[in-house]
Amino acid sequence: MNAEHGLRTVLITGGTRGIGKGIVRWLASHNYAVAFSGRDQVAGEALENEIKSEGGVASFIKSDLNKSGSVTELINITVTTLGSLDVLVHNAGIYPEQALAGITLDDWHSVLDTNLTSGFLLSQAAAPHLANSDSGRIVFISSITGPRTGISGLTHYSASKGGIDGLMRALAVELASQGITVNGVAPGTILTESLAELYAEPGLMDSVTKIIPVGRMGSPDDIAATVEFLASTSAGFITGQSIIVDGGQTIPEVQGNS
Amino acid sequence: MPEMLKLSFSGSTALVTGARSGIGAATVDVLVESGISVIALDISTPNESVTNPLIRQAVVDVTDEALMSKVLTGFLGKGALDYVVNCAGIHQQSGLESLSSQDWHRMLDVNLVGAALTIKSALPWLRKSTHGAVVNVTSLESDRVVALINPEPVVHYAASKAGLAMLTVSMARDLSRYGIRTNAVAPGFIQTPMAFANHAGVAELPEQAVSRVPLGRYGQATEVASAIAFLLSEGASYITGSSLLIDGGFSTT
Repeated sequence: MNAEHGLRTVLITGGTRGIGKGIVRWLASHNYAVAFSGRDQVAGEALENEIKSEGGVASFIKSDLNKSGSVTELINITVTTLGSLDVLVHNAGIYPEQALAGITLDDWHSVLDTNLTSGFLLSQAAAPHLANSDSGRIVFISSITGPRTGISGLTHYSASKGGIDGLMRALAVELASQGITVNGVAPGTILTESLAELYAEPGLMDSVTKIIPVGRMGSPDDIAATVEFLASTSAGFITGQSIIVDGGQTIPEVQGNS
Repeated sequence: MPEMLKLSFSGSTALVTGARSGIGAATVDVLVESGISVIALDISTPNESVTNPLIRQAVVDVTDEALMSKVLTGFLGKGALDYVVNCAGIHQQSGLESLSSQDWHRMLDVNLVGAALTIKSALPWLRKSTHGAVVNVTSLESDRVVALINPEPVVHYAASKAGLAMLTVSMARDLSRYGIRTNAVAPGFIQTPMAFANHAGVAELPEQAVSRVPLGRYGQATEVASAIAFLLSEGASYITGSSLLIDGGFSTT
């Protein structure tokens, strides 16, 4: 808890855009004091100011999770800034599309380091602080490709998300005795800024939403609300689980809303 | 203390079966706390101590389709229904060899067919909702064998819950045409009257079972109810065909 504001405290990685930005905004307006990291100083400061102007408690911490020592530093700054850490949300991730034949070892390591290894390092550094909370939580943003689907051209990304799911389950068992729950959220197709650009071509968006049973793409808020649930004290008996938030996209052979 | 999760429901109506005890009763309480009007159905006689005007009770066996329709017509008339929570369920230990045909049918009729018929009976009103959602209560045992709490096999119970789990996914597709979402919660070891009445070796159960749960305790019915409430809520409007296991990490070990 943050003593000054009486709020639960959370760190969200990759918080300056996309799903992460949605989670930052959502939790900042739902009784959390928020720290969030990212590499984009300008976007980070803009979001921090926006939340503060709305009366929220937020702090942007510039951090490149792949740099040696940066994760420990990020956790330390977070705890110093917020006064404690109740919830860690590891959302930072990259998805550079590349066919198998074109993926270099550097590409592979870059994706695995950012998406998966940083999750391990963050959990390791955050666990002692989360253990001090009366309800410590880790929530990983995985993907439907973690437990379920495969995506051509994203083998390294898919492997990293499968890895996140395994990391999540093992940590759930190992950290349970410290009262920390560890869960995941597996988003389907979420309409972020970068995806909106990708689907700018006329008709393309309709062709995608047609195969989603709820008849729309997801929004960052959909993921954020699920994170809020898993981070809440009400979810204290849930651990080692991944909630699929995909509008029914992975139910096969759906013909769409008719 | 951190505040309870706030859910956005905007004056909705819910139908809860198996509402008299355990997870069903906790679900009624959690939904009513959020301002939802609840039709609470159970095979047992209504709880006379209930005075909250948001709760309307009736005795219905979920296998009785005609009575279910009649009761819903009486309660809902020309109105709408927003949520259905299928909590009604029975449990029994038996291997296949000693299982009577009657017990087999009763188990499937209540746990699986009853849930399907409840949704079917409710559909005329559920279709009128702008945010319809269904949650089925399955079980940890819907996709794995849990010998620890069942000295005898539970072949028909497990089959009924596995059926309910797949019914949930299939219904998610089916009902998406009406904008109705369908999800499941799968409870593990939850401290309910049924859990304690139906598992043999009850005296030893608490210590034995809890020692195998990473979080080191039983779950409370309210915790399952909170997950049900979340899956019904606006925040879960992009979740359909999903299942959430609530087992303190038991199945992960």
